[in-house]
Amino acid sequence: MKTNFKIVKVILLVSLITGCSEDFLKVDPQNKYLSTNFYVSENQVFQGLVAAYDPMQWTFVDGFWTSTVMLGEIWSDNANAGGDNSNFDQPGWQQIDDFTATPTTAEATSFWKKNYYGINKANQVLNNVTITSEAISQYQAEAKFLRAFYHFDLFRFFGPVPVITSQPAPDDKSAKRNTMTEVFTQITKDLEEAIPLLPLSYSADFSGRITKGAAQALLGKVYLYWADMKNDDVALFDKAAANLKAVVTSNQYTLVDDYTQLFAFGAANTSESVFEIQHSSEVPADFSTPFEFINGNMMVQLCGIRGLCSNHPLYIEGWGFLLPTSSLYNSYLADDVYRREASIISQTELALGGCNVSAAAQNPLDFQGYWQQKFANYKSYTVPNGGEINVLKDANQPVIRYADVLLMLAEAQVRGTGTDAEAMTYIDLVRERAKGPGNNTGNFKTASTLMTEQGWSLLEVIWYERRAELAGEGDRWFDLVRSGRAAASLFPNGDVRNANFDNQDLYLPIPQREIDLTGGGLTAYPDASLFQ
Amino acid sequence: MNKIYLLLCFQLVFSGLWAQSDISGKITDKAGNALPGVNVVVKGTAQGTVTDASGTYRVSAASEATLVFSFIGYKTQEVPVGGQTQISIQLEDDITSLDEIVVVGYGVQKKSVATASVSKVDSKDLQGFSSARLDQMLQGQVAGVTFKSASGQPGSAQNIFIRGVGTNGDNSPLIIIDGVNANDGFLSSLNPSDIESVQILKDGASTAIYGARAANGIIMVTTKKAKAGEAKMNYSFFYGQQKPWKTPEMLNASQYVDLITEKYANGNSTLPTGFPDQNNIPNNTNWMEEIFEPSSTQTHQLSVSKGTESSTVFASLSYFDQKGIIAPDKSNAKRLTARINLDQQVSQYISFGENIFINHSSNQRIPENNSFGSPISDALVYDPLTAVYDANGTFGFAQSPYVQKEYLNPLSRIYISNTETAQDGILANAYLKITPLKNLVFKTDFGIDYNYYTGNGFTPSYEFFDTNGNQLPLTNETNDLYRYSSNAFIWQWENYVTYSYSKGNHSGDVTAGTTARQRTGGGFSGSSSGIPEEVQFDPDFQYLDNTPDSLRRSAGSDAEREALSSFFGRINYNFGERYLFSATLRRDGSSKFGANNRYGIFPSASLGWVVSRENFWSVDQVSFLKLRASYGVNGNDRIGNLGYAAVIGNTGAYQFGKPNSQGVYPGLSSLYLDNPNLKWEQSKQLDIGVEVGLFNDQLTMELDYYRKTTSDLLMSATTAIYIGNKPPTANVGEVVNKGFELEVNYRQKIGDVNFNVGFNAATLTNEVTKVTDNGYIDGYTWPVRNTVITRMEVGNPIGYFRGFKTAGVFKSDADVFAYINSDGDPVQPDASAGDLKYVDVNGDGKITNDDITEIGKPWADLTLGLNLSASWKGFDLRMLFSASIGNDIFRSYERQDVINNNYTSEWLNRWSETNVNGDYPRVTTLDLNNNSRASDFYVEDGSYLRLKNLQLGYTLPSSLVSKAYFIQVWILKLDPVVGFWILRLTKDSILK
Repeated sequence: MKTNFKIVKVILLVSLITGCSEDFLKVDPQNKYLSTNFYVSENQVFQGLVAAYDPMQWTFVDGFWTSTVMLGEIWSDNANAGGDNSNFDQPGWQQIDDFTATPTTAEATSFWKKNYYGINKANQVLNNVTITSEAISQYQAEAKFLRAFYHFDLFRFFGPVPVITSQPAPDDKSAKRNTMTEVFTQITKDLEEAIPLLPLSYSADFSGRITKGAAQALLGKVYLYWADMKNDDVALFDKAAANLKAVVTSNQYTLVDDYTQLFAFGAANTSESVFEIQHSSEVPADFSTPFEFINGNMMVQLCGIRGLCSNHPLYIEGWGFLLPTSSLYNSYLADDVYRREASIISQTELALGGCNVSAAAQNPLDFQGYWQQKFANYKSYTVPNGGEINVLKDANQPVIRYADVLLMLAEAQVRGTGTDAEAMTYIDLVRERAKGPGNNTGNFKTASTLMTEQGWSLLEVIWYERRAELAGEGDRWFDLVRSGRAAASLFPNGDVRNANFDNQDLYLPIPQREIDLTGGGLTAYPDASLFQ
Repeated sequence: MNKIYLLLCFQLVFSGLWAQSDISGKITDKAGNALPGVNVVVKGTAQGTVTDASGTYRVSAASEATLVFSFIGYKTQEVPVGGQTQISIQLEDDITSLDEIVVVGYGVQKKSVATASVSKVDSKDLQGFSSARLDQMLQGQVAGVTFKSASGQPGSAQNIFIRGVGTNGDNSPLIIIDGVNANDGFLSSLNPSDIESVQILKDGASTAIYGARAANGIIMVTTKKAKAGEAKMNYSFFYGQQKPWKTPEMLNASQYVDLITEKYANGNSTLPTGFPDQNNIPNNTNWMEEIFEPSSTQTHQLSVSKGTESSTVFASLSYFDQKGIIAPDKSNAKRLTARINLDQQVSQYISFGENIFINHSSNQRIPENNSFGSPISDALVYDPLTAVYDANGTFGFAQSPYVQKEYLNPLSRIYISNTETAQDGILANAYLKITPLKNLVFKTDFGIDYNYYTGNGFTPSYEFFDTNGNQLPLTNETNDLYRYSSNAFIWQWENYVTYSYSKGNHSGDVTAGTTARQRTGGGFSGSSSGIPEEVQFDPDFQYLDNTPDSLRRSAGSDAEREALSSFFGRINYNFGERYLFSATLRRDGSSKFGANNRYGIFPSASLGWVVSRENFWSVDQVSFLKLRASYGVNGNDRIGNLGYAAVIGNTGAYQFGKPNSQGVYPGLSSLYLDNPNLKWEQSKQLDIGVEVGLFNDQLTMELDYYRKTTSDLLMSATTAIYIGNKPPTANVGEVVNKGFELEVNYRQKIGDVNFNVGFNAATLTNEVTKVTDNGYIDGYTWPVRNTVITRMEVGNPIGYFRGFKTAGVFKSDADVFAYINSDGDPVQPDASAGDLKYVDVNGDGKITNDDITEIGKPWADLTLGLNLSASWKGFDLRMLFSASIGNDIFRSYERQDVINNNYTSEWLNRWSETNVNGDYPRVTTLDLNNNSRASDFYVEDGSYLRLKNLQLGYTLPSSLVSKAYFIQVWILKLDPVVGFWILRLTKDSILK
């Protein structure tokens, strides 16, 4: 019996041992870094920086196409949404096109998300790194550029938005729209800080990375918007001019001689490219791949010619979005054919080439006889490592071309304290190239000729030039809004866009979900008082 | 003298042994029918036999010995030999099911004194089912347990919900197999013939002892042990043919041409180039017929068992092979299992034993049930004009020139899909049981659960042409493949002590113990492309290093670890088996939660009153009446590891170096936000039950009401997007499930006919009562216009369907203009005759997104099961019906947004100029009314009544089979769910 009691004691002891060790529950993560032990080497900081670059190239956020090019064109008088012949294909894009977007329009959420995710990733690099070195200073300068760029796009899409420079708590609901001044102050601060730390250029391995010129050009563009929206503030125009001028005098950039080569198949990071979003087909992906991991430019297939004949020598059929308007086609001056033909292709032109495209396949309300071809759906696209071709067409997206820098500089000169003469030299550089390849000196209409022939002011020449030069590149709507030219009158009478437009439509509504979560702290549309 | 005495003693002892005599007799049932196969054992020895086909036996036993007669379904009888040489007895039916034993956590309990709500399915209820999967066999047998299959593909997972849906996350019950908290997958890989019983623990009182992981209920499986005196071999073979019960009926080519022509005409647009008219229809392909084909299922099952009083062994082998009804060569499941269960009584104090189960299963799979990307969804949309094969194409399959988007010729979809997975699993435990004092039992039990998974997939290179021979952008220039392997190893060590007490009217027991559990896992995966074309279809060459371009190969590996550590205790007490009380407490620690909330405490208490045992009870017809109530708290930790921390991972790459030296660089940042406050999901459950036995327990009934509140639901938090990262897992929301459950069993014998009726019914009301932040979480996005059609929202059932309400079809344009708002303007100005009429739910005079409302729910209000069996002489008939009432189906496969898609034959009754009374809307390419938007037009009542199982067996009369050797049963069986026709052969041998 005594022995039995001993056994009982042993048993009770054993029973209690197994369940009580605290260390047993402290499981170290395997093969995983946590935010608390990452960013401790230059390489890790670089990987963090790459993560901050990535959202720029997201074109399919949560299953909705989110191409800035599409937004800037379809929203504007340059193009309509298009799609299949139901007029309900990608309904959010139809709404953006028709000025009927609401806070539940999915695409607005996707644009909102893309940019705030980018800001978050830039903030991780800017706030979590504890080591210092020359390389890390440059990485952080790139991160500041990216944070500025994402905020700038948010401003262009949604108006004055909350500025986020540190990681909010997960349950934070306190966001409110900042004022325009606050937004631009943060953006310009980030860019001013980044410029001295950025290199003028990179080796060929790293083409497409952010350079000093990119930061100066973006800063110039930001000042231009700020000046324009702050009652044509001359001092701000001068700041814009100073930064843009620095890009010119850096001698890093030249205009590509042949305008058609800018968007030819395989064109990337040309001598004219100041800032360009990079796409790649190297990493296999398909429609079921999480969108962050799709590195193709998905607007290419979506904005290809719907119902295209199968024997077209260069292009393959697409899904018919981003249909240029007659308004755009007709806006080109008679001698501006070279530039127009590089940007737009018409049903007539295709038919002349023996390729009949049925109008019945197009969205009947949006199709006016034209398709875009700056992001043409080339047959030559391939998937070198496999995957779905329709998500992997890897056309880069030029964001700021040197031509844009020249036109912005000209504008800043005209509207600031600069001289018209100097402005005209920049415009003429762009116009000379637009005429066609080779030296067109004396064979093109200069800015002053246009002023005379058309009776335009120099600023009107610039407006013409910006539309013609940058058509199909996603700048049009934002240019119209910042310069106060966005109005119902841009759209023909009887057009649904003419009827639906009101000032609220200058911006996308902030997603309903954000409005609800912040208890109305965020408003769908910006109040006029925020624009100061 | 001493020596003589000693000798005498020996003599006495030995004479006892010598005094063996032959005893024989015949065992019959109450009606006097011979009972073959009855176990006859000399008590306390390994000696024994079984009765032969005529019910007779012969055994040697001393005259002091006692014979034990036992047979399933009959009460065990003990008869002292007492010098008799002829012992013939009648075995009494064992119909007092309330006296059965139920397995509860860490012990067993007599059902009559249990205070928990536990449903039990015995091996005999599972016998004869064609399904080789336990999870499928449980369907319809138990009240309050819902089964939802993701698909009908062999080997595909089945979701099991006990008492409704508690969370938007993982709702799977805890699986306990012979005491081991096993991987969910084992429920489908077990060999059903190995199973002794399955118990479903439903209320908080029975599950709380498993605390942290039991909030979704528990399925407790006990496998077979040999019985003392038993020596048996059993072999059964099963072969079945299956074909689809019903396939959707699609329009044929002529009807399709009519519809598409009408659709373009209504849209004022011209038909696609080359679209045929009725006079030149090129093909009439029935895609449903093309993809479905009859296939077969077979199982072999062999078991042996032998037992003595001190030692038992049960061993089995089984093989199962099922081919799918679509692409049987590419969609099938195979499984091989082996089991050895051993138990040894070493001495009065010590016993030990083990259960070892090993399985190997392999599966080939095709894409399934996606709205896009599966052969069925292709066949539901693909036009009948396209030929199956393309005469010119290298790859043989013609693609449609009309239906595109994400659709392919269903057969080419099958051609490019090559996916295979395999799993090797071991589930084993060994225990040592020590009984140092009377009434005190200590048990230590160590279990392991190991699974090794491998998988591979392959997409060949292809280039598809349309039916007219034109090349399409449907090409895959280089073939692709991936392979992976992973493993998960779980060990679990449990130690517990039980002390039981019984004196006079007081009896009860106390249990206390600990559990430690650790899971480690990891894996490798790799992918590549470009296997040399000439061997690409040979599985022996589908390996990564057979791709010449090593730059195309990529590989990865991962690992994880988790731990759980717990204390638990329980007190059971009853007074005269009349007043019952039980309480449990468990404290769990889990590595899945951050330091702030690593521990959780889960209590329960229950009470019972057996009214029929009271002296005042005098209702003779009511032989048993028990009232019981319980309340318990449970937890759920079914989330991934490290949910509380911000893990750094690849969040998308970026590329530099174009055009000449492109490189893709991985981008690393935190994958989601961290949440240090993450804690257990908690479910609190009240259960009130009545158990009744009538007419000497011939009719038993059990009625339960429960109310289960699951709070702190573990789901993705709802965070604002501007925060800039994916939300962490958080405790958001609350769901209440409540309902009644009824189980009725009736046994009756009339003449030679034995009846058994089992009926179960359960109601379910599911309501979301809280969702933090914005009050709802969106669910499934329908590809049609990317619309969210399910939502978890306060005041609605979880995952309810959202859309517009319709009020039929406008018969004429006049109807459109008659549908006006208070301003006198048409509510649907863009509509035409034949369009759907939408209800202006919010009454603002127009149809906008604000009119979206609840249009259905996937959950049944009432589920019913009816299990009938009858036997007469050698015949044996079983039927299992199941019914579901009140659940809706969203026809998400209808894709009106796909231009030129085919339609189901219901669309023959569409509105048209000549059929203005059609129930279906008009078809048009210019759908200004947006008829294809999510609405209740796409929702239909999903209620059903199905005969799930019908089988008739015949046992060959004993005169035809050799003495005590085998029993042969033929069963003809029809399972309407998939249309099985089955022939079954069972051979049962009794070893001498």
